[in-house]
Amino acid sequence: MKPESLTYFRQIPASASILVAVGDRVQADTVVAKIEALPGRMARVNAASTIGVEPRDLPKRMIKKAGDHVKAGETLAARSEFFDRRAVRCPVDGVISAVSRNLGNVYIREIVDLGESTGPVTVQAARELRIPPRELEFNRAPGVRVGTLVARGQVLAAIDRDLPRHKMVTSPIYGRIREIDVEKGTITIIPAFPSPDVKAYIRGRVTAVIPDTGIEISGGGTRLEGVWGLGGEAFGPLHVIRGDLASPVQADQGAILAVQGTASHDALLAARDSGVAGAILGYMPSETVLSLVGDHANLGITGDDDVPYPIIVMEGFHPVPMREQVFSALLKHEGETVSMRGVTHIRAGVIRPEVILHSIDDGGEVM
Amino acid sequence: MPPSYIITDVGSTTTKAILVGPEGRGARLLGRAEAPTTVEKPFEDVTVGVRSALRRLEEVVGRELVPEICRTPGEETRGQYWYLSTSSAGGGLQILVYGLTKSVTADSARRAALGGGAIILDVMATDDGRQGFVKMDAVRNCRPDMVLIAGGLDGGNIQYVLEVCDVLNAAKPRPRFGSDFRIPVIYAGNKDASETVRDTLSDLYDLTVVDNLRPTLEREVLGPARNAIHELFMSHVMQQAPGYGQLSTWVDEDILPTPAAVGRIMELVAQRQGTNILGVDIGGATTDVFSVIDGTFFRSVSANLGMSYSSGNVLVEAGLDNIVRWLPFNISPYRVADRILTKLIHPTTLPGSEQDLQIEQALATEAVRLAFSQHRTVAVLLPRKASFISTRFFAEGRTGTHEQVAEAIDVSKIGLFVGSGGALSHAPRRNQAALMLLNALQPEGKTFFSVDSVFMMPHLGVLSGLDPDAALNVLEKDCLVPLGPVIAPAVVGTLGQPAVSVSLTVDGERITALVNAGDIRVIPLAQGHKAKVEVEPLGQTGFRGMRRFEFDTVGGTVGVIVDARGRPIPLPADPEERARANARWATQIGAYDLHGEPAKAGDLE
Repeated sequence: MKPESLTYFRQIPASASILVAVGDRVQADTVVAKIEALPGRMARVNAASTIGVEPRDLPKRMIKKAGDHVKAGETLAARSEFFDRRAVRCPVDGVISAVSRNLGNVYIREIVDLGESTGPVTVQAARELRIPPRELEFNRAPGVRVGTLVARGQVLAAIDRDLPRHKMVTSPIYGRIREIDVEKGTITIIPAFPSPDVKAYIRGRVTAVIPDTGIEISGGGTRLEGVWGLGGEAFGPLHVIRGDLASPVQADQGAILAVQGTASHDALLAARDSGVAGAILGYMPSETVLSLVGDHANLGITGDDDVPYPIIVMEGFHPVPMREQVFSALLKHEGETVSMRGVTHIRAGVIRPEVILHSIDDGGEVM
Repeated sequence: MPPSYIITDVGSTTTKAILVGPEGRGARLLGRAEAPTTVEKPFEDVTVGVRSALRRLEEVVGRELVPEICRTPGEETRGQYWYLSTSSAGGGLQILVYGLTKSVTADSARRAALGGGAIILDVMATDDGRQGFVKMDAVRNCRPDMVLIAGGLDGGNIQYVLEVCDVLNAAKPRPRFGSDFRIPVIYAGNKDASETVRDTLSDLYDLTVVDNLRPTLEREVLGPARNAIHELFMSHVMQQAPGYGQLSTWVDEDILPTPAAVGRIMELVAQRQGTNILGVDIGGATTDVFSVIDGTFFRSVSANLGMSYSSGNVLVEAGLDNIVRWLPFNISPYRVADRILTKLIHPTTLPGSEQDLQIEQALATEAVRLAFSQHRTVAVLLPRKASFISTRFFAEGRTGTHEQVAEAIDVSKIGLFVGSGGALSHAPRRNQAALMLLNALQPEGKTFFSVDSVFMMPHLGVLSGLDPDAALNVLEKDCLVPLGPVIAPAVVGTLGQPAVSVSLTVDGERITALVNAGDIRVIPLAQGHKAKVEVEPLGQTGFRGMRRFEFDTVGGTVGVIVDARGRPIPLPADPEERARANARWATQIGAYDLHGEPAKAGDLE
């Protein structure tokens, strides 16, 4: 298990500030970009009929074109003939996605602020609509169900939709619906991007910056591949435990636990309460897996999971402790910052979870 | 002299080559070999894997084959062999499907794409419950090889189809292969919208307009869309895939998507035998189900059901209890889950013990059951006659439709079941394959079970387009392994009481067997031996109205299988009792020598 050259490309969504330049040295947890906005809902404006032209003539009347950023209230298209002056205004801040020459529509992709939310948000839907909690089931908007993505401002539930007195509740964030609780009358949403910070992930140097696309970082380290994992990325000082994790752990805030054997469901939750940021386990029995992710999770494609923190399994699901060679490598890096990623794709183009033990050299070169 | 054929199937992981040529009275399989597919790095050229498979085939058959087909451009063929190929490499043909409403044109378009041999990336419809931005992101991220747009019955509103086109323009999906490649789009919708659709999409896509695949509510015309899929697969998609440009100069007929080739041979078998057939191919990642019912071909792909990469999905979709219920021993369900998840993370491993094998076979049973259940939702009959209101006023789109379709599949009317894929084809005993098919598909009445010996059906499918007699001869003599006829009453009386009397007359000699309710019995009949079978239901036993009946049959590797357990198979609720029942059935059919007793739990921990 020797250090090797590592290169990672850190992708950024549509709108982000890049905070580094080519040649900069970065640590694993250095913030290299900040996400500012995300693509949101699609707005459609029938511009041709608004300004009174044939759909086919709309492209000639457009003041903005496909790909342009537009602000709410800006003129999209206009017609001026004698005393007949008409214009169509943009209803939202966004980017023009397409102009239809057969229907006369302009399609605008809304751009929404990322917002401040980093954790799940619970909407008191029944209370806001003043309906009994159980009636939420019948009043949720079409397509609003567990697992679906919702945009900020999207209607989650409504009553009396066709009447003047109609009421509705909307999503405060761009995220995925985690739970619709008809006992409490609530809808819980997990942010699609829990943090605006895009981190370097490995220690090294910035070797390329591609605006609106991403940042390439090259460095050195030892990559330990697990067999299966849950959750996204985590960084933190390594805290190694011999045997199993049975009782609450005394670890630094933000630590990554490396457990030679396994950890029970309760021990994993208790570790979260102690501020643990990630766990590397020798093995994890399926009983613990299913109690963590539920009976309906796609176990072959993970990364987006609703788990307390990222978890990596090094050996499997049978009671086999971590291989000595791997455990020794982790022991050698005890107390140092490591990076880990639980994402697993078991299919063609397989992705396995990984732990990166960074080389001591500050420049991230292979020693 | 009858021609010889070299045929390859370029799969995701292996390229399988066969040589078919004259032997005795007809065409036979002369050899088979395989090599890893080389569609990915470091080779990124499928012809490397094809050459390698052919070199191995040369060793098997002792003939020089590579120079015969691996020609450089402009080089003439030597004419001794025909070369044909199918392909599913790189994930097969991946199509994005659009329709207007889920239950009408989107459903028909889905069937057209599946029949064309495609893997469906997504089916978009105006009433699929998703927000526009969610669909747009899905389109943007899916990287299709091709897009199929259906929508609108002829004469209906065209606005919705045009909106679909606008959204496709806005999403601008990127192709899977080749950055400058214009994605082929097939428009098979409302004919009144054809020209406007052409105008809307031609700037960004390579558009092909074909006949509306659902011109009216009660009529479905899938052929033109399916043909367009095949043509575009060859002329556009395959030209972009690594090495296919070269491969397409070697073949003497168009390369077919693998599932389309399997469908072709299934149709031919059904046609020649004059029976309904149902085939199941259980792979590592996906399970395909094909059926030909009253001459109509149906195909479904359960993209998330399989024995290795998708074993975790089978666990989730079937539920742990449903897998455990087929085991001939009692075990903690979580120990079973440990084993299934281990298979997920190490997809290429083989079972290490008999119990591991039994767990895999229980998993396969559930995968096939679920895939068959999904297939039944695809294999449907359109409404026979539209109501006056729907013909007069209905235009697909704004109002949607709730016209009911009927299931095409009736398990009592399928004359032949064919099992394929590792779990069924390579079961250590053919009797195990028979038990898996019985439990998963639960056929009724009289039928016949076969398994594919070495998964040659794609090769024979592409061959059937050129030489159907050769394809059928090889299929019958070298490909399909007959397991035997199956007799299964739907209803049986009291457990342990005689349920059915089955008499076999072989070469003038008559054997009669009484089978009790709740039992399986195998009556020996050697492979290829002909027999006349007389079946007499006893007591309350029922074959859906059929009383005494008789038929002619031939034996298979298992024998004549009489399943008198009734339908659905009554599994005891108590785990110990259920394990004992499974052990008894496994012993009765000859799948395992358990003497009717469950394995000891101690063996398993």
